[in-house]
Amino acid sequence: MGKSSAVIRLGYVHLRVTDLEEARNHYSNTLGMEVVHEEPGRLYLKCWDEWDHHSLVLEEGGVGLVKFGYKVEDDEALADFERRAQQFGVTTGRFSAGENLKVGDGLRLTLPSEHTIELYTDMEFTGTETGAINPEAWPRNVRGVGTHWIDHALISVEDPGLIERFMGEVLDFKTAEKVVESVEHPEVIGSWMSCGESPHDLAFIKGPQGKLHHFAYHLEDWSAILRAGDIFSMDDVPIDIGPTRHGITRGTTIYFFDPSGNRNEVFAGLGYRVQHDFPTINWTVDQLAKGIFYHARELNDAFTSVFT
Amino acid sequence: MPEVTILPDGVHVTTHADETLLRALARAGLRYRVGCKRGGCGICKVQLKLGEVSYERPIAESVLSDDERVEGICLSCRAVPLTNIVIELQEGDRLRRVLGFAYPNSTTPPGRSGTGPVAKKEGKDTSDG
Repeated sequence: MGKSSAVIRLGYVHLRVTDLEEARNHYSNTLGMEVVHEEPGRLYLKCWDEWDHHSLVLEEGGVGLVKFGYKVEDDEALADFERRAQQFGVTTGRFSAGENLKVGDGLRLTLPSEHTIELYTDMEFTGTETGAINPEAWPRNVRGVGTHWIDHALISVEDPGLIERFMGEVLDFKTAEKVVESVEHPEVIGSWMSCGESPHDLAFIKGPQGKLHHFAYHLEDWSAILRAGDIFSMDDVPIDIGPTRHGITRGTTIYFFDPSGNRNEVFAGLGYRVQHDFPTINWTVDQLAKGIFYHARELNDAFTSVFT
Repeated sequence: MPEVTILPDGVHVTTHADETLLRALARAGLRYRVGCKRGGCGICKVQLKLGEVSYERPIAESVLSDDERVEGICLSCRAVPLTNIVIELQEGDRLRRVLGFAYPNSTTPPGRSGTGPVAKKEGKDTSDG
């Protein structure tokens, strides 16, 4: 039986973009996020169905990932994660309220894969568009794709087995699905890990250190995915693949790129719940293509080569 | 309008005003190795053998370094030819024709004398790959 993780969710993604105004148009008009705060060189945005102040920070200059924030239940859990991360041999540091806009005190981890993850317990609560009292099903003024919330991320790491061990031993993430070399040689090629009941809150595949493969937005269902694809054509958003389905997680999907070349995903379909007795599903690497793109059953060049 | 010669095939394509290399080649029904198409990943780099290009948008140093620019490496999804240019695809890459029906004689380079590509419609081209 697994142990519950005190990590709640992927709370924020902090991303570099080469042109802030083009990024504003993409994330706000095409995807439908709301700009909740701006300052020179930075935008803060949230989706209509998110409770906290923001979920995306865009910083002008360069491309790729700055860091992720994962929200944690309480200070005891933070202290426990800090101790266990240090025991694992990972660099930790504390940050103070205000270092991140509207975010409280927290713990910064530098993973062996060179990714920065911030754990925090508090971000200003601003509520969703539909609110918490007799809410409508969705807001009438939603723009573009109308993404619901930022759901998960996939990163590239040199040693997936090590990161899987770190996320499991230190942060109590559970492996929902993994790709191994073969049943006889279970070297980890990729892993989809959960901190709650969602099939993945963080996934990683073998690749360059410190890079982003994509981060994903939750949509309601398959027809919302199709509609998102239509909007991408209207707005000249380059589509990497889709609409299609993943074998791994069973999610329906489109991979696409923002105006700086960072990969985004729209993702729908809670394929299953990762309960405490959920056994890890294994894919062998010879079936990886089917696991990633269930219909095409072959990987495109970009899947294993395009990172930012 | 500037003409692009693509090595090793020696195929010629005529570009439109302010058009990137990627869009010009895509419009001519030609495919080659590309990634994000938005300047973020560097997969579509080609060697600029002759001529000059400019970049319409800022390019991250982590994607195309100053050293690479000096060496004539060119990020084709963002590069706009200023003069007639000659580019060479990366080693191991090759040009593929996806509009074969439009150019039944595959030995005739599309776009020669600016008459080849099916490009009657001006403006935004959304099929850049």
